[in-house]
Amino acid sequence: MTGLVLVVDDEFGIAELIDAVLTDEGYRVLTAANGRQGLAVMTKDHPDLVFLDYMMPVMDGAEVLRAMVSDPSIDGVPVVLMSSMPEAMVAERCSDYTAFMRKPFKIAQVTTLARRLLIQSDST
Amino acid sequence: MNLPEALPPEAATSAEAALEELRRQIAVLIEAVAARDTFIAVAAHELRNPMTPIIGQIDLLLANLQAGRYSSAQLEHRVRRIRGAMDHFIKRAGTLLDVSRITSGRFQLVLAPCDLSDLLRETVENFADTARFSGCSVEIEVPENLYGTWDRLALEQILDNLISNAIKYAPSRPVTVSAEALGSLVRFSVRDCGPGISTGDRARIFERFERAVGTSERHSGFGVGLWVVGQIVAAMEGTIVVDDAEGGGSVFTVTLPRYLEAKLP
Repeated sequence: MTGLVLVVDDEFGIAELIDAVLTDEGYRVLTAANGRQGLAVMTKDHPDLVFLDYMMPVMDGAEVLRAMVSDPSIDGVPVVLMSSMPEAMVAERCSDYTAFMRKPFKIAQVTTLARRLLIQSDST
Repeated sequence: MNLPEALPPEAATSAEAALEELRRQIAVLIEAVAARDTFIAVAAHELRNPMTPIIGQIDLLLANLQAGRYSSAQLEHRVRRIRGAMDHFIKRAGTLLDVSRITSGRFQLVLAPCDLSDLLRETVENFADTARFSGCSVEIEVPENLYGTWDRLALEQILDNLISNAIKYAPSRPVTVSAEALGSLVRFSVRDCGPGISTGDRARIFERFERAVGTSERHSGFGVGLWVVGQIVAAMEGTIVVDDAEGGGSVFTVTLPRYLEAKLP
C-alpha cells in the first residue's frame, strides 16, 4: 500500500493506534494533536488522506473542514471524520467530509476506509 | 362528621406554605435526578472512549502474531502501549469514583508519609508520551525531597488533572511544574503558555461539567476534572488558585499543609 495518511486526534492512544494500524499496512503516517497542528501538516506535507477527530481543543474537526475548503491547496483531500457521537449530531456542524467513523471503532474499519479512499483518490 | 367549610385563615396560610415548600423540594429532587442522569451518560461515554485504544491495540497484536510478523521488540512495544492505555482507563475510572464519593460525602483521605518531589517527577515522566505527541516540553523545578503526610492517590489525581489540562489546552508550548516548601506548607504549581483563562471563567472552571473555553470549541474529556481537584484540595485543607502567568498562559497553584508531625490515626 502506498500513500501518506495524516491522523489528527488529541487522544494520544487513538492517534497512536491508527498510526500503528496503517504503518503495519505499509502506509506512511503522520500525526497531529489538534486541528491547528493538523492544518499546518496538511499545507506542508499534502497527505493523500486525513483521519480527523471531531472534538478537539484549539481547533476542532468542524473548523478544520471549513479551513480546508477555503484553501485550494488542500481542498478535496478525502477526510474520515471520527466521533463517539452519532453522525447525525456531528453533521449538524460539519460538512465536506468523505466518510464517518464512529468511535469506538474496529481496526478493520480503519484499513478498509484507507484502502477504499486512497484507491478513489488515485483514480480521480 | 361535620367538616369545616373553609380552613381558618392562619391554617390556610400554613398549608399553603407547606405546599410551597413541598413544590420547592420536588423541584430540587427533579434537578438532582436530572444531574445524576447527565452524570451517568457522561460517565458511560468517558469509560467507553478509552476502551477503543485498548481493544484496538490487542486486535493489532493478535493479527500480527497470527501472521508471524512481529519481532520480540515490536511485541514488547505493543504490550507497553496496551499497558499505557489501561493506566489511562484506570485514571478515568478513578476520577469517576472520586466524583461519586465526593458527591455522596464518602470521600476519605488515606494519609501516609510521602515525598512530593518524587511523586512530581514520576507523574511528569508518565506524561512523557502524551507531552511529546502534543509537542509540549514539560520542565520540572522541584527540590531533591519534599516530605509530608498526604493521601498519595489524591495528590496524583490533582497532578494528573492539572498537567493533562496544561498539555491539552496549550499544545506545542512548554509546561512548567514546580514545588517548594513554605515552613509547615508546601506549594506546587503547573504553568502553561496557553491562551489564559479570563477572570470571569476562573471561578466557573472549578464547577462540575464546566469548561472555561467558549461553546464554539468542542473538547473531549470530562469537564469535572477541575471540580474534583478543587474538592480534593479542600478536603486536604489546602487552597488552589489560578492566575495569569508572567508572559502569557495560566498558572494553577496548590498550597497544602505538610503535616510533618504525621497526622496519622
